Amino acid sequence: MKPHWFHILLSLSAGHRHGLAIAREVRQSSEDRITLWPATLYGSLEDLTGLGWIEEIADAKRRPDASERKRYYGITRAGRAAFDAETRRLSDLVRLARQAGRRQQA
Amino acid sequence: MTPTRARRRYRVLLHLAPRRLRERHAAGMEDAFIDAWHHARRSGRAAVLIVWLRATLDLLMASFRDRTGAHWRGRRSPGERGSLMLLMEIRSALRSFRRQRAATSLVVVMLTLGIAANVVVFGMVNELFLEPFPFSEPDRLVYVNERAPKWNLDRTGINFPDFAEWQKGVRMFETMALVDGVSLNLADAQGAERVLGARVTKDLFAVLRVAPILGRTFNAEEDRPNGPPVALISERMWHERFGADEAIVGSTLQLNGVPHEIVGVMPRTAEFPSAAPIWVPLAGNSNQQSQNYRYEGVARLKPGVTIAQAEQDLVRAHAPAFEHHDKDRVVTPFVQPLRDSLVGDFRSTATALTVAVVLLLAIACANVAAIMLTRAISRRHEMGIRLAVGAGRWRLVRQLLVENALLSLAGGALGVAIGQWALRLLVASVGEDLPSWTTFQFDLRLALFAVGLTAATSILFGWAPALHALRGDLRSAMQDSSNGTTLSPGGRRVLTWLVGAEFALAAVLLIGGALLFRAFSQVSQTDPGFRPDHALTFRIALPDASYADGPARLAFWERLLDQIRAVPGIEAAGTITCPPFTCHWGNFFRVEGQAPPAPGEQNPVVLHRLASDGYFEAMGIRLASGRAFDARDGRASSAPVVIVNETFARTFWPGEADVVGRRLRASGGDDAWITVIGVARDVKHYGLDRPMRPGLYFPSPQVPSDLSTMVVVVRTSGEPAEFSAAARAIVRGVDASLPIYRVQTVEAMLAESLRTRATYSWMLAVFAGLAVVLALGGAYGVASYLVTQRRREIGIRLAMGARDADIIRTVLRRGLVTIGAGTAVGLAIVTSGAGLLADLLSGVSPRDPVVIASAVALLGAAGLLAHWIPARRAARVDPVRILRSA
Repeated sequence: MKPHWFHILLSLSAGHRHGLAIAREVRQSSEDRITLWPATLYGSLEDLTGLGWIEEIADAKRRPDASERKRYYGITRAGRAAFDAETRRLSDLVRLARQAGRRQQA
Repeated sequence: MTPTRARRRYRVLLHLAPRRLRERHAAGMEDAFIDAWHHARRSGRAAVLIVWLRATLDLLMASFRDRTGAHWRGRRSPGERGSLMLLMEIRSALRSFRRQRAATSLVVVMLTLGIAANVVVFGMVNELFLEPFPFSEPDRLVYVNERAPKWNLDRTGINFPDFAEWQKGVRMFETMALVDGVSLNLADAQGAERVLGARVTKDLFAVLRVAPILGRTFNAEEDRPNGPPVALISERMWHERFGADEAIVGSTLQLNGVPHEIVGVMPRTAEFPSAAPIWVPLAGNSNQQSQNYRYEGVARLKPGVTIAQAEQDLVRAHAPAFEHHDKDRVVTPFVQPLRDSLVGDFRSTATALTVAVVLLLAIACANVAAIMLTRAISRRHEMGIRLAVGAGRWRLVRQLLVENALLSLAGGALGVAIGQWALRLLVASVGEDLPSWTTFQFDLRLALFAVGLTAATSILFGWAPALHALRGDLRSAMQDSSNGTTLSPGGRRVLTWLVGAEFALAAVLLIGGALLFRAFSQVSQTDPGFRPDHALTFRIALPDASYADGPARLAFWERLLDQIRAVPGIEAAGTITCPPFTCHWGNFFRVEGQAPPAPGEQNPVVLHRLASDGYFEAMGIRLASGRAFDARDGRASSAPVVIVNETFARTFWPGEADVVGRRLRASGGDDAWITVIGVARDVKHYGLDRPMRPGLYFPSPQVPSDLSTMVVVVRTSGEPAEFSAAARAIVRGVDASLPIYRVQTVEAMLAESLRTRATYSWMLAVFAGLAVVLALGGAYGVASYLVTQRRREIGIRLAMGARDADIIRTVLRRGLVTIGAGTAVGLAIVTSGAGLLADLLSGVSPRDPVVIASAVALLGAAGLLAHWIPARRAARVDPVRILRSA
């Protein structure tokens, strides 16, 4: 999984967000180390929607002709499954690396 | 930049993004960008720049992914198809570069060299001549001074009473001000220090339109004789010395032993025209009795007034001054554009350097064109096949143009980077000689210049191969290939012309550079009139407050010299008011028996200096006749004496062998006659490449009140620089409150006077060297290529019984004819255009036979070398293999 996909899924797993909010949250939680640049952000949102991992949330309050600025996204069941699988994979990798590190010290 | 403008710009950039994203998410993308932009703004300008670059890259990457990745298929608009083709062309160009690594890197290196040299020189020219001054409406600012042709002076300096008349009479000027650079003793709890400062009339800051950061500027009350002592300090000093303390206004500063109240802090830009961090009021007296021509003027014209109108207006306003104190109408004011007066010395240097780098770039372009042409020719076979299977001609030309554009982009980027770096080095090495307002930052104009230059070179060297590819018809291309791609006579002619042109340009650069270098070595070998080795100088200025009168000052200098002379290893020590290369103090004299000068007659200004006994020995100035000063000269008890220089003797007593014993006195007065006791050899006071004026030395005890600032010269038996610590200690022992400054060896002083000339001479020498190397490389490349092309012919000749020497001779003859013709054209250009250099040559003839002969020899040798290796290779061709392979 691409790292920025992971960050987007992580952010959406806490609730519905629009694009800018995702970018802000990723920057803050990474302490400024990761910036999702606009084309990367929206490109990834499109890709993830295409994969069916996230979906656009219809906003009842929004009139159809209103600005498209606030497109809200939410994570789908498939997305959550993919995210959990990736998290497990990463934590397995980390555990392996730590074990290797301990063995070297010993 | 405001957020709104940033958003608008990003919206333009968004056109780079894939349409799919742009149509659905434009607003969201803008928001996300602006958010990142706001965030970066907190970390400074560099961070903002990075945000822009990253965001652009982000859009480009997205569009690249979109076109090459999963979204390959589907319908496309013609525009999208076009940019897709461009991408493919770029890829195929990169592939072809990888195949021809040597040729590609050669092209890039040549372009880099050419463009880097241009960036350096244009950067300099831009900063000195094009970049506007950092003031509002800078074109209305002018420089004002006075001139006196009868005194042989282009700039006399402005006399304060004249200035007072102008202020009453002018109509075309908005404001005008006078400036006088001074150095001041600045004392505080941390100790004493010598700082540069400026005495200015109250309107200077109104002329420049610079407002204080804190406090206020001078008022009329302060800018008058015996006004209250006040000072302004610069932002720089405020930060460095006072920690940017807001409460600084109202506190006092000890300047020359007198407490001055600080009334304001001025921004950095106010340090103009020279970098001086302190200003005090000039406090001129319009009723002063004697005339003192010393100030420089800066003025702001009323809108729409031309320089000529302004000068007319000023001369008209000057009329009352003729009545008052200048009945002979010797001194008249003039007006100049501010820039001319500040960068006048650099203009001819800048022109010569610009011509040099343009030539260098032209050579690089010719080289690149030759390489591209041979590449295009050797690819005719490939092109023929592509044409045969249905590729459009336009398509092939586009392919070649894309390759050229990529190459010049690479060369351009590298050239700009290296050029910037070299420019910074250069500025660091001439630093102090450049006007202080120059900043040498990479600016928009320089960037545009570099981009334009790169684009121009791309077109310049791109058209020839492209046209060649277009013109060749299909059948001949295919036939050529079966014959081993021989070159058409047309192609060969173009290559020969390119090599000839390169040598012509290289000859121009080489001869020009060699002439300047010869001028430099001639100037630096000029006898300065003194012995620069084993001598150290430093300055001390006595504040009026603690050394109020002549006897006190004289006593100080005598005590100091006695103590210095008592140090072991000191051979001689003396003081002078005005050492070589640094200052001018002019006055007028009349010799006994000479009638007072008639109105309109030349009355040359005389350099006036006061020297102590021991000065001539310390400085190593020899006397042509008579004797130097001793301790008794100049005392009230003895008759007044003077030492003249050779130019003075020649000017005032033409044809007389020995003038010792003759007498002179200041013109206009009826003081006692002063007897000449010696004739000193001329010292190159105004620079090694400048003529000397008549000059006089008076013994310092004769005019003790003029001894407030002097330069001490010490001749040592050991390394002179080692004496500087001891000198400081001695001065501290005599008066601890006095700083000593400008401590330097006389050798360093001499080298400094030549630094600008040394720098540009070296630059031109480097450019000339590069030009020769480039021309040599170009000739070699073309010769090797032509020899390869003629392998069959050579093979046949060898098979028919030609000897190695015959083959070598044929190849060499052709090459050397081209090079000879090119060099001859170059010579003709130099001799007809030498006027451009005349200003910088200082006496070296532009047709100097040694320079021309050695340049021709060098170019001939380069040409021979470039052809010898290919010729040898040609002679070693194995005829059997060649003929069989055909």
